[in-house]
Amino acid sequence: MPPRLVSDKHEIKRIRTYINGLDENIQGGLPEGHIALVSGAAGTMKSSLTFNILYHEAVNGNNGLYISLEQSAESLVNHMLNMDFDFTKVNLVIIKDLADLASKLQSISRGKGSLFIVDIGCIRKEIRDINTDNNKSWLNVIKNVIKKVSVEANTKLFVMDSLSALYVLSRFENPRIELFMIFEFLRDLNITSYLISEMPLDGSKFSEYEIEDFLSDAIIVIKLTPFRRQVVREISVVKMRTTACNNDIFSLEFKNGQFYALYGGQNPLL
Amino acid sequence: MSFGLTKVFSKHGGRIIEKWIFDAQSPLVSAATVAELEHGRHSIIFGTKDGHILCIDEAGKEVWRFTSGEKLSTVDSFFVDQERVHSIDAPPVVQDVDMDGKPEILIGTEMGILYCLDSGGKLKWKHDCGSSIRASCAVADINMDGKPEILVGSSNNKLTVLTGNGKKMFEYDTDSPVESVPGVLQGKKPLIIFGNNKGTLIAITPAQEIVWRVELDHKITAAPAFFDDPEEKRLVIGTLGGDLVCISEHGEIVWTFKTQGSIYSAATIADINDDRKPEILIGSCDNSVYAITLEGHKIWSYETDFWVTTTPIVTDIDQDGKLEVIVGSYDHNVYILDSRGTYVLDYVPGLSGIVHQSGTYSSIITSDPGQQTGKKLYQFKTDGIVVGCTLLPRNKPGLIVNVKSGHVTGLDHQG
Repeated sequence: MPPRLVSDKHEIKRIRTYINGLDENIQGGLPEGHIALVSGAAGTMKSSLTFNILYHEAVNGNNGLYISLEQSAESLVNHMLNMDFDFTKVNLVIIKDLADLASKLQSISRGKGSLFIVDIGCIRKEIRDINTDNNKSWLNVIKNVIKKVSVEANTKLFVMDSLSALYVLSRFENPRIELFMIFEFLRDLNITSYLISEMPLDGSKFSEYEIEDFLSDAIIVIKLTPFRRQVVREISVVKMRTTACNNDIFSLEFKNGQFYALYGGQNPLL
Repeated sequence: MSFGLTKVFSKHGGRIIEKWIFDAQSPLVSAATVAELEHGRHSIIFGTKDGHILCIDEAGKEVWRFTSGEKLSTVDSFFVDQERVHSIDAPPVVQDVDMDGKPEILIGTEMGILYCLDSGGKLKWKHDCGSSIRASCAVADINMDGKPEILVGSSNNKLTVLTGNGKKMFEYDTDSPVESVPGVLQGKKPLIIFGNNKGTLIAITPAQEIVWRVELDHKITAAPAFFDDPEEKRLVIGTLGGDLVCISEHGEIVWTFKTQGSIYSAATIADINDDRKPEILIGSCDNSVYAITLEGHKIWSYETDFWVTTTPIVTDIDQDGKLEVIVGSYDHNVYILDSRGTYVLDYVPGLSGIVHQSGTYSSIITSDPGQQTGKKLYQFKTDGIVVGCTLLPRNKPGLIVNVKSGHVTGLDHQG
C-alpha cells in the first residue's frame, strides 16, 4: 500500500539509522516507506551500516530483509559477529534456496524480530543451469522475494546489497524506465528501503546511471578521506525528502558496537 | 423551447449511453473480440490480466469462462513477474481453423501457451510456444492447401506456424522477440510479414525463405494493414518510434508519416469520405488520431488528452448515413469523430483581433486560411484507461469498450 497523506508532520514515522549523532540531525531518521541510496566506495562500511539498522530494528521486534547479491550470508554474518552483534536477540533466517522460503517464513518465532538474509549468490550457483536465459528473471526473483517476505512476514524494512550487482545480473535495456518501475514497486509495498550503491573511488557520482539520485528519497554518502597519515570515514546526508536535515559532513566511527557520526561541519580532532 | 431548437438544428442528435457494464474482476490490457459463436448471436470474448478467457453475451451476461490453470514449480514461480505471469495481452482470434464448421477461439498467454477453445469455451488443444505471447495470432492459408494455418510470435525470437489442429509446421528464427501480429499478404504466393522488437519488418515465404527485410529502427507491436495501390499491393505499419511507414509488396519504403508518439496498434483502412478511395486511420501516443491519405498526407487529426493505443473503428454509430471514426484514449474517454473532419479557419475577418494593415505583406492572405481538423461528435467517459474498443456489428452498431480497471462496457447510440 503506497504511503498515505498526513495532516500533521508529527504523523510522519521515521526509522532510525542507529548512528549516534546523525539521527539527531535528520529529525530522528528516514521517513517510513522512503527509499534511500547508500553510496560509497569499497571499505566504507555500507553493508555494516545498513545491516546495523536491520539488526537494531529486529532487536526492537521489527522484521527486516537483507538481500545480498554477491557476498555470501556466512561471510556477512561472520563479519557482523566479529563486530560484536548478538544474534541471540533476533531470529536470524538465512535463505539459500528459494524452495525453502515459504516454509522458513511460516516457521519463524513470533516472539522476536526476524532478520532475513537472502543469499542470492548462493541461489545463483545452485540453479545456474536453469532459468538464466532471460535477463529479467533475476529482477523478478528479487521482486518476488521482497513481496513475499514483506507480505507474509510483515516486513517493512529492506536492504539491497547492492544495486551495482543487480545491474550486472539484470542488464537493464532501458535503465530510466526499469529503475522507475523498481522504485515504484518498492513504494507500492511501502517498504523502507536502503539500496547500496557502489560509488567510484573519485566520488564523481553516487550511482551507476545517476537516475537513482533523482528517484530515491534520500542519499547517504560515505567516503574514505585521507587525513594526515590516517584514513577516516566521512558520512553526509546529501538529500532526505520530508526531512529538515543537516547536510554537514560527519566523521563516521564504529566503536563499542555502535556507529557514531561526529564533528559535523568541524575538523575532526585526530 | 431552447431544447427543441437544439434538437431541430442539431446535426448529430442523441448521445452515447451505457447499456451494460461487466466487471471482469481483474485488470484488462487488451480489446475484446466480437464474433458469432452461435448463428445470429454475437458473443464478446476477451482475456484478463489474471489469466481468464471470458465470453459474455450482447447483454453483458457471462456465458462461460476458461481458466488456463498452468502451474509453475515453487522455484520457477520466483523467476516470473507475478503480476503478469498469467496475463492475456492481446484480443482472441475467432475463426474456424479446423474446418469443422464451427468457430474456434485462439488466444495466447504470457506463459507462452496458445489455447484453442471451442465455441463453448472447452479446450480443443494447446501449444507451448516456449515464451510469452503478447500479440494476437494470425490465421491464413499460407500453403494454398485450402486449410487455414495459425501464425503466432513469441518472446523467444520465434514465429511459430501451426496447422488448424495445433500441430507445429515450422518455427522461424526471428532474431528478436516478436510482440506484433503477423500479417499475410495474399498475392500470387502468400507472403508472411511480421515485425520484431529490434524494429525489423521481415517478409518470408511459407517455405521460410526470406524475401525482404526493412529496418524501421523501432520496436513494432502493430499488425500490418494491407491495401491495393493501382500498381502493387502495399501495407502500412506503425512503430514505437512514432512512424507510420508505407511499404510496397517488394519491401520498398514508399513514404513515412511521422507522429510524435509511439504507434502501438494497427491502422484501419476505410473510405471515410466517399471518394471511392480508402484512407488510413491511426492512433498515436502523441494523444492524437490521424486520418491520412494513401499517399501519406494528413487529412485531419484530432487530439485527445492522452495516448491513443486502440485501433480506430469506422462505422455509422448514430445511423445518420455518415461514417464516424471511434477511438479510445488513455484519458478514460471514447471519442466518436466525424470521419470527414471539419474545416477550421485560422482567421475569421471581423472576429479575430488581428487587423491587417494596408501595404503590409501577410502570409495569411496568400496561404490556406485554415486547416482540416478532426471534429468530435460524441464523447463517453469511462472509469479508467481505455485499452480496447470493438465494434458490435448489428443493424444498429454498438461498441464494446474494455477498460484497464476490469470493466467491459456495452455502449449504444440513443436518440
